[in-house]
Amino acid sequence: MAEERRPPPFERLDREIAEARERLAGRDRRRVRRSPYAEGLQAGIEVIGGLVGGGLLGYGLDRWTGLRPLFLLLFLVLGGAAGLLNAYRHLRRSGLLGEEERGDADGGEGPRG
Amino acid sequence: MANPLEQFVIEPIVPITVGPFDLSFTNSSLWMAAAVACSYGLVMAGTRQRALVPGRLQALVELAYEFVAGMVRENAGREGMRYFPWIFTLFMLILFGNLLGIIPGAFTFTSHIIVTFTLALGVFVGTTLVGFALHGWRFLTFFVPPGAPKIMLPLLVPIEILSYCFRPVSLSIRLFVNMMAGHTMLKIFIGFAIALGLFFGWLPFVITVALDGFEIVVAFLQAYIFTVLTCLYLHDAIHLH
Repeated sequence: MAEERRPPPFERLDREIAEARERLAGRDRRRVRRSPYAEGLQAGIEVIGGLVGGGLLGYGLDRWTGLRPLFLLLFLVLGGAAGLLNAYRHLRRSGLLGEEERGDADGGEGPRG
Repeated sequence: MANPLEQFVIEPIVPITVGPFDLSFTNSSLWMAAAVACSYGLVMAGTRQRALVPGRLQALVELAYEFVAGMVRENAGREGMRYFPWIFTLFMLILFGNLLGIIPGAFTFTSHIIVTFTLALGVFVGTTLVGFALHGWRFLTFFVPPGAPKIMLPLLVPIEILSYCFRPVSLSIRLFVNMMAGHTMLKIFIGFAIALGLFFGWLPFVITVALDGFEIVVAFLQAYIFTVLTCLYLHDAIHLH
């Protein structure tokens, strides 16, 4: 630098901190990166969670209303669908479903439910 | 060979029954209390000095704080920092529950689905309340996927609601499965080591040592995942979509 001045003024430090903060804020929605294996396992757990939850809910409703097996069947299907939905969202959030999907997921969540 | 599932048995230490409820102070309660004491003690001891240049303990506590704070900011947004104490408490409790459970002879309370489910239910009820408190009834629009054809809504909305309700289920299953599987595996391998004696026993013993290291990673990772997902749910409750 040509004009070697006194010790670097704090303004510069302040500006740098502000810039860094800005950058951090831009990264606000940055997703955690984990191994694809962990993400896949996670997706499987989501599906199982949906099925188990749906099954339990249906079974409970059947016990309560005595309409066996109506609710069990209904909620197994709905629960499975919900589990798949959760798994899909999870995978999309993780960015494993391809790049264009990721850009979409990063930019304000896209058509998330 | 010892039963590898024996370690998960709940034993009352101080039997207490109130009416029809069994409120005994069990080995599970004991280790929960230990986890609370450890996390509380660590943070208290670490913040006592309040040095500008932190000592070892203070650096550790600050590291934990910065880690969780960064996680909340990144995943729940700036507004999420209002709920930081809740997330931090959750993280420390689960982390210490997992870590203390690795000590031989200790009880891992996070390996019981009822414990993890209760924690997840707390998250579920909490985030739902936050959503309703911030948005009122508008929070219910969260269950209507934007851009979906009107005819599909009677089918989509129940699925959305169910998928929302099953979050605590998958949240709790993951934590409990990881902890239970890991600890069962440890017990099985150390059982092999004892059963095979000195001549061949070293091999499973070496594996146990490796698995122990792996368990420490899992203890951190699972505490982290549980809290990250909590942050994401919080994000949904604050920002709706």
